[in-house]
Amino acid sequence: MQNRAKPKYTNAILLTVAVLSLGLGYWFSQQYHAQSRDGAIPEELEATVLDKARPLSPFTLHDHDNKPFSDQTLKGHWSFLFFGYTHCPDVCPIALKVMEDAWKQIPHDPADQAAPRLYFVSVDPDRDTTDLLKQYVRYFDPSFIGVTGEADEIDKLTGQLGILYGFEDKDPETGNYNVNHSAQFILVDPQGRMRAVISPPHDPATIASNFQTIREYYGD
Amino acid sequence: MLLSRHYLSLVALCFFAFIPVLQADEILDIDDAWVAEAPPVAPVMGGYMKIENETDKLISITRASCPDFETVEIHEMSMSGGMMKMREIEKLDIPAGGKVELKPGGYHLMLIKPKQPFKKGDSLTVTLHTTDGQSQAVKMKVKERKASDDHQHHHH
Repeated sequence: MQNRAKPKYTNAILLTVAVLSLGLGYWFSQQYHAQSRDGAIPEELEATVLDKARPLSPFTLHDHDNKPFSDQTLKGHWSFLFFGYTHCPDVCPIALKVMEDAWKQIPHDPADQAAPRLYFVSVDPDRDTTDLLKQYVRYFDPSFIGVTGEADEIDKLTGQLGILYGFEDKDPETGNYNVNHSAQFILVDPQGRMRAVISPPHDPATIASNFQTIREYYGD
Repeated sequence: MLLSRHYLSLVALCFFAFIPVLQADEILDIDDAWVAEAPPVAPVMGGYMKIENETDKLISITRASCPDFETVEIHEMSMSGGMMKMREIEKLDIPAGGKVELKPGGYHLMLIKPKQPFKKGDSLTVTLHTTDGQSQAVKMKVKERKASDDHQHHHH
């Protein structure tokens, strides 16, 4: 009995091993496939590329033409996001100036739906009206897009991108106040996922070449 | 007689009119004073300059003013807790024989609410006021920003 049962056992074990191997093989191939699309980029870059692109949860803002701007708006093209405010004397105009120069090295035909976009998100909606934002960003490049909205919705976006900002106390005489804010660009991929962080100091040529490398590696 | 007295007062008036100019002795040596051109709708502009104190006494700039703007503040920018922080400072000390540079990413003049838009090539005059009650007019030229102005902790 025992002698006849043995091969049966062996067969069962072999079958199990075979099934497991198949499964493991499939799993590994999937992992490898995912890795090739989503792993760390091999090149040396100044930008910090996320090992795994981070999908964005929903938020609803509006652009400088009062059109909705949401997580869905970020799909179908690469996007650079910068967070600031128009009363900013220094950091924001410098960042936009850098992008103005980088944009000359990055193809961005506005007629092309898949062309990269630059969004300047104002975290100061009380003072930054859509009209002011529009005129402000377009001074740097007519394709730049100003975005703002309700504070709660802005926080939904900044929170998941690791962007910090805060308001200094209002001057009781003039009503002026400053906004402290992060100064990095966030790069979002055409699937609407956070892909890279570009920290200051910013250099137009480096941003342009890093972006081309990232874009070629991960694809559109 | 009457005419000559009028004449004298006129001479005196001219004389006294010159006194403030004579008094505005240049206490600080200022170079490369410029204001960054901003979008015409921009509510603020940044002003930069190199200030040198060639005297043997500390000079503190307590206030800046410009008739073309609602207010002018002296600000310090710094990186802290992952954020660029902007802070108005009470006074800017220029040590005896020392130099302080107002530059993008550091100290700057924040020129708030221009009364008219300024474009590159324009110039404006900012007055710096010091602790000892003296003041100095500084002519500043409006220039276009350069991307390379981003000097904050460059590691190249």
